[in-house]
Amino acid sequence: MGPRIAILGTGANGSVFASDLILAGHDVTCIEQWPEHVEKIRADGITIDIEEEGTVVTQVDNMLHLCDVATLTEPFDIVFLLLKAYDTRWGCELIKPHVADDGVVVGVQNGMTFDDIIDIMGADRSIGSVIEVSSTMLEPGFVERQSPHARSWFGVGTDDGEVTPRLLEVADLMRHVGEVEVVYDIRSAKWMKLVINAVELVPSAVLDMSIPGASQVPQMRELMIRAGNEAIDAGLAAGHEIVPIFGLDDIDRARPHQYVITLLEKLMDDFVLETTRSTVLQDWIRGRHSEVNEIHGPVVAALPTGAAPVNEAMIKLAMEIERGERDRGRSNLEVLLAELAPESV
Amino acid sequence: MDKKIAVLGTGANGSCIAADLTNAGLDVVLIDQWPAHVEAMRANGLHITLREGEIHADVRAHHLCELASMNQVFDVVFLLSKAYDTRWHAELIKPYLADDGFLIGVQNGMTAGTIADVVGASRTLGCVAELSSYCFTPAEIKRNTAPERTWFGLGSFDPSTEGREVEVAAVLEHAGTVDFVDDILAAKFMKLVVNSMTLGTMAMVGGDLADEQPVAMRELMMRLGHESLAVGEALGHPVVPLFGLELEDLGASDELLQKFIDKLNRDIGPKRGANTTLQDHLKGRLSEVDGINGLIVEESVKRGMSAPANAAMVEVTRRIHSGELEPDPANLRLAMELAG
Repeated sequence: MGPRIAILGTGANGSVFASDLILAGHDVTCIEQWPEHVEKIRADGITIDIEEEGTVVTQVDNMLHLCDVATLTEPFDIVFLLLKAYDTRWGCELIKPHVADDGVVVGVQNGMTFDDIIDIMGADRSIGSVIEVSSTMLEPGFVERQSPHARSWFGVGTDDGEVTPRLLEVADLMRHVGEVEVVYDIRSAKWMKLVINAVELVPSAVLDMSIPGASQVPQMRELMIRAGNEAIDAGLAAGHEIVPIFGLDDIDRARPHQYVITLLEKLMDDFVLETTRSTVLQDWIRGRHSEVNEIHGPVVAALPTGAAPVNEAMIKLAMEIERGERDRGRSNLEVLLAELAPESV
Repeated sequence: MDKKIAVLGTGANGSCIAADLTNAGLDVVLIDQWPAHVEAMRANGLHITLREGEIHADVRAHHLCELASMNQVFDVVFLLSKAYDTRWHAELIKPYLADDGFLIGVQNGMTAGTIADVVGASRTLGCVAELSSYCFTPAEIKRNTAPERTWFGLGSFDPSTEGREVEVAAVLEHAGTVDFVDDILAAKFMKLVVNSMTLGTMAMVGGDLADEQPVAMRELMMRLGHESLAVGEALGHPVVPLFGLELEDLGASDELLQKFIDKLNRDIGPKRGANTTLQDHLKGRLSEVDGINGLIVEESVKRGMSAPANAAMVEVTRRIHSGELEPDPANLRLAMELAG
């Protein structure tokens, strides 16, 4: 008998996971906080439009509202946590009583959430993951997946880098969704993802543009790369290593700023479409809080005061947008340029 | 008063408090995890039936998933989730709690420390409630204890909050009598002693806590209460009065346990319907018994003491939740056998 699997957070990427694992014949229970989405999936399954592959409709037998968790009686062996980074801690606390003693929670998220998961679940029951999948929830029960299986990538690893049987089992499960690499320094790998997130997510969202769209605006591209340079400097200051992600194999560890450009180019070439909107922009369109603090906050915190001006400016602008004091749009580029002195090199 | 107030977890008791605060004109939002309940509250408001009449409240109800779009910071949040949902609810609300705000668990079980652990001891107070109600239909609540027979004990257990209890009392007094309690953790434990006697027991037989119980049930309850009191003593919790009783009313342990039960019976009244644990059994939901009788067992084991009656309650309750047993009067005999 296979493992009992839960997908906690069945939003856009969670739906992608649920669909692929169910179609592969696994025992999957989905848990989701948005009531309309749960009801729609219960009635009609999950519909996913996959770039290059076509439309897949998956029936979900076990689709739970959050409030249904208290009716569960059998523990899970593997929980894939696909909540926003800021929902990590409560998600872990919610599911912890329902995880088997030798079970694991796999944080398939952006942001440096791995140590929050360990704090709650313990190191032996935690697996960290880097995710590169682009998808958008268009309406309840309906997801557009912009990175097909061949262009979806994951890194997975344990606290101390040990390759445990459970880690290999998790990696095999995730191979139903995309390419998977076992990584030995998962925190550094997650920070590398944080670097590219600092480049792409909030900067494109404040301009209300797709990720490639924003990166094609010359002055914006420059700011995005500066945000990434600050982020990679912060990672080194925090003790992380430069490690390859996204399946890159030939990187120059001595030139961290060059690696930022490599990551951005790889992202554009392989993982996003011309129309791909960042997860932050998707949150804002729905009036929801975004991961801005979980992306830029650690960068600002890891460097001396004033050493991450672009990341600081992103937080400030994003919070103004979230508070309703400012609209998102192209004109925010002028705001950023006015606030940020040209890079002194 | 311009405090921003939230009631997090608006099941039966949460709905009762939220309705009273809303009708008192306070700025209150309700946040709950049961979608159908939220929808019904939005459509028709809350409808609360008491023996003495009815309460209607046009409440502002939100589903949990809306927190991320509310852009709100709260000054006082009353947490009325099940005890086992305390930690994740506290983590969930933490980003939306004012720096000098309060998150207060109006719950059974020893949840005050858990809340302090998550949001900091300077942002919580201990609270004991005597409030009885039930809910099987969205937005329709039956309340056994009218506001004048509803009681809250409130108190600090960290020096940083001393003197600020009045801020919370000024809000909570719209839903019942509020007494300030010096040793609030002892009071919460004393409530747990009473809960250890009444919740799982009455739920497993599917019945009411009435004045007259079979001899075996009274015997089981007293054994549970004595085991729990012994653990309380080992933990250093003094015996304290609850529900507005006075210390001199209590007397010796047999007598004090019976007095608590009698007072509960009087306040809650006859034909009260299912208690909180039986409601969970009937809905197929996990009950709080692990956090009540289970806690007594756990603390006993740590101290080399034994709590066979509490262990029996945990086991019978587990069998009911797993579907092996139904709530039935015959479970009393099973519990007595397991308790030895």
